[in-house]
Amino acid sequence: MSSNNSNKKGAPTGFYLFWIASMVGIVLISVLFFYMGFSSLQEGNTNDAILNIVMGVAGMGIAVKVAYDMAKARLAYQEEHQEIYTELHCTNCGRKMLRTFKEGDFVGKISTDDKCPKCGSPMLVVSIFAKTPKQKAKEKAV
Amino acid sequence: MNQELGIKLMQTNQSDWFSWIFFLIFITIMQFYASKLQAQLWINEIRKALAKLEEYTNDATKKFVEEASKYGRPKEEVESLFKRIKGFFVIQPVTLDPFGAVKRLEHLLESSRDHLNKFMVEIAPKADEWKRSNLRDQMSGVLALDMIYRIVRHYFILGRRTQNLIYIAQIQMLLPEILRIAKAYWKAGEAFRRGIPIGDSIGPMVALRLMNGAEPKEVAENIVGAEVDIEGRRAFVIKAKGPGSEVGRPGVAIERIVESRDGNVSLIIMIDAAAKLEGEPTAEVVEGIGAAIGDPGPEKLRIEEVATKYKIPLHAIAIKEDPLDAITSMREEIAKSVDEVIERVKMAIRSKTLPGDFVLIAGIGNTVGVGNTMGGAS
Repeated sequence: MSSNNSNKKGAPTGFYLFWIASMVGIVLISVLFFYMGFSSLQEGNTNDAILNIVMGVAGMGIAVKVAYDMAKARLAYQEEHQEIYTELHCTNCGRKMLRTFKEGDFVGKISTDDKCPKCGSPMLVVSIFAKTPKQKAKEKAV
Repeated sequence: MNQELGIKLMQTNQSDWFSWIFFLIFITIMQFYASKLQAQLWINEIRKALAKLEEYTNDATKKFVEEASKYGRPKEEVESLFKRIKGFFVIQPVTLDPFGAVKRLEHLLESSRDHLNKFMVEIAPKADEWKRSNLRDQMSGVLALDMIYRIVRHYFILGRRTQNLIYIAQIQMLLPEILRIAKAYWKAGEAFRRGIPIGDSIGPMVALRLMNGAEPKEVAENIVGAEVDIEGRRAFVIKAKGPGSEVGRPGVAIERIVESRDGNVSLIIMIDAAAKLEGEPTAEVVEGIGAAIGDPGPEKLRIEEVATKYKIPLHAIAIKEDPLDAITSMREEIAKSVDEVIERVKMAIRSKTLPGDFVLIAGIGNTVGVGNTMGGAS
């Protein structure tokens, strides 16, 4: 959830190795089928050629599906990582500030640790909310 | 040449026979074992989900024990005390004779709340009131996770033992939703541990902004309120007492305020988070009529009864969110809806009351991470 807890761990290395090894294996087998298919075609053995090419196409399809599943699983890992932000307003000039949530923050609290960068007055916590990396990326793009 | 062709044909026929025999045997086996195979596949899926649920439960328990042991008791003692409360339950009152069922339910809920509060004093004696309520709700999440795990395990063992497809199928089909709920409870623990507002805190957050720095006073058990001027009307705004995890007794508070004024209240506005339907946008603000409160019944009944007694209109403003967002850290879009809700409150006041009228506004929900006054002493 936050930057300093166990939820924020990324996908394990074994996870990526497994998916990548599966994908590479399937692609290699598909290429082999394509090779056998086109060889059979040159030899004039149309039945074998069709069968091997179909197998090759199916293999490539499975590889694409594996890659898609990997990307989806990776996004799910990213989605879990939320960062908590505290929004503060200056009690004097109203200037807004956003920083990472600190333990002890609550809405309505006057934060003595935070001073307004413009006038040096204390800041008031007006909101606390969670953001996912996906949301942050979307905001950056905008 | 002819002989060669004959051998070839014989071979082909022989191969065809083998294929047919193999096919028929396969079909016959599948006739008998297809359901067993399907059951086995589903049992495997449930086993994986069960492992995940166990992981969530153990992790949430570990985090709770670590947090509670910071407040006066060693880890081993906290662990053994926690084992004692595991499996805690509340038995619903008899409804075969519905007379007084809500009163009896109210009594049971109060007893349950007292029991948990006393238990928190025992498990974390040095925690202050704020921290204790956060710990209590963190523990409630762990207890809910534990209960989900026990139920799934029950069906898993029963299904495996009896190989009954009905037992296995009903739990397998609910697995995605069960895991989603379990994940939300697991995440909720973190919000309560750190005192972060949850989706359900939107009502108290709006109430706090409406109080506009006025000094609040306690009007009922764990409910604070302050009188402010909104659009030329006298508005009394109430919310649960924060910033610890509390929902308070808003029904008792509303009843008490209305009765103290002999019903001289022009409008009651209730603000609460509401479950959104799939496809509806998160943080959509909608309005309606009635008591906007998601309690098991007693609070809602009090509000409806007192409003009916004095013919006071009940105006409801709901902020739509996924039920699982309601128990986890507040999402940005929900937090940003505060301004729109305030505008809706003002519009309702302008259209339904006259200047000088008395209006009661209740920000309903868990007030974790939301204080009692904007910038004042909490």
